[in-house]
Amino acid sequence: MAYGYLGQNAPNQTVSNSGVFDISDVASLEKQGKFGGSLELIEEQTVSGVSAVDFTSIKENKYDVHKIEWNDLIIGTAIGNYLQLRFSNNGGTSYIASGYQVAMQYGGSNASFGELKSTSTNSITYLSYSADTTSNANQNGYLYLYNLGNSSKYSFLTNQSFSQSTSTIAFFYFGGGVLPTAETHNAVQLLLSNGATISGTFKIYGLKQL
Amino acid sequence: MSALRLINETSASSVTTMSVTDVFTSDFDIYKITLYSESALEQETHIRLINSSGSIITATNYNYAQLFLRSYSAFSEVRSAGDSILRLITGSEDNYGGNAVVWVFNPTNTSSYTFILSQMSRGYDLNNTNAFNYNSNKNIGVLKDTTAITGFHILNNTSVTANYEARTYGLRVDNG
Repeated sequence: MAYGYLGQNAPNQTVSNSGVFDISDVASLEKQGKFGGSLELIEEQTVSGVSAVDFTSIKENKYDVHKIEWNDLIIGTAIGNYLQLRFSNNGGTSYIASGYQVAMQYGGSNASFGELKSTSTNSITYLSYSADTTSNANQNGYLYLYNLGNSSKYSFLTNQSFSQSTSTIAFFYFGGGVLPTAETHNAVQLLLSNGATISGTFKIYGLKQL
Repeated sequence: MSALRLINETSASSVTTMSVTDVFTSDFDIYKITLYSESALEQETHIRLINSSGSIITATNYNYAQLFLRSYSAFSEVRSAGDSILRLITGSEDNYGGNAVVWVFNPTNTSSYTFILSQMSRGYDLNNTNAFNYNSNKNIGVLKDTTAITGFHILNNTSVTANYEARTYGLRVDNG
């Protein structure tokens, strides 16, 4: 097919060009993964004062790798809170609250660096941290989720975040976690470790595959 | 439309190595690779780069530095200033599987070395007791060679058979 040109005398080329793509070109090229962006937004939520952010339609059968971003996350109570993630195997009716493992590194702009780890915890925790409720003390970060829709594989995570956690200290957190149970996970929940409310914007994407 | 463009999907089952060729071009400066590795026997999954002549680069011009994170024990540093591989991009044992996101910078730019940035999450059997152990890492690496790089080669340290899946994306830049 000669993509990008209309008319009966179109040249027989297959490389990308700046011509006009008709609807058949688009459909064909999308199937090949060669048209359109490959970071596909599944859902975006902007929340204010909620106890948790749930994504219950994550298209786990379509994507092997998901990405979640959080932007301007503000906590509702001025006590230390880690951002945490839990999986669901029943579409978000309930979320699994045991059996996770994590390994995270943190570092502060005016504080020591350190390790956070567990072989048995109630979530993949330590994703980011804040103890400040002011509007400019926000948390931002991203994480990748792997194999959620594959019932024979464990669900893994990697993450990177940064936050202005108090008036004087900015922190980074990076590392990963896993729920070592081979089953399909079809919803995810983000919440805070000390129960503070959440305000901010959360997006979940799928990385395109053929 | 996002700026990420899927370029290639390659997978192989029950192999020791897998090459992904002709994916880095002058179309993009920055690439993102998602990599999955699974094996019954313990292995670290490494990367070597492939030049525009199709040769896998095995010279000891790879440098890397990574923090290795364990859920069950203290973290440690892994580094080399002259290795023949980009070490421990991910790995596996007991078919627990390992995943990674790898960024590749300037592979076809012959005025620049090729740099990588990666992060992985994997399971393995530390004491060979069929018990799951989790680890992760964050890694930087460079091939100190200005040869044009057009692909990459997956291998593992124990030459055991594994299943590999790699998806390569380009990060599109549009003129403003």
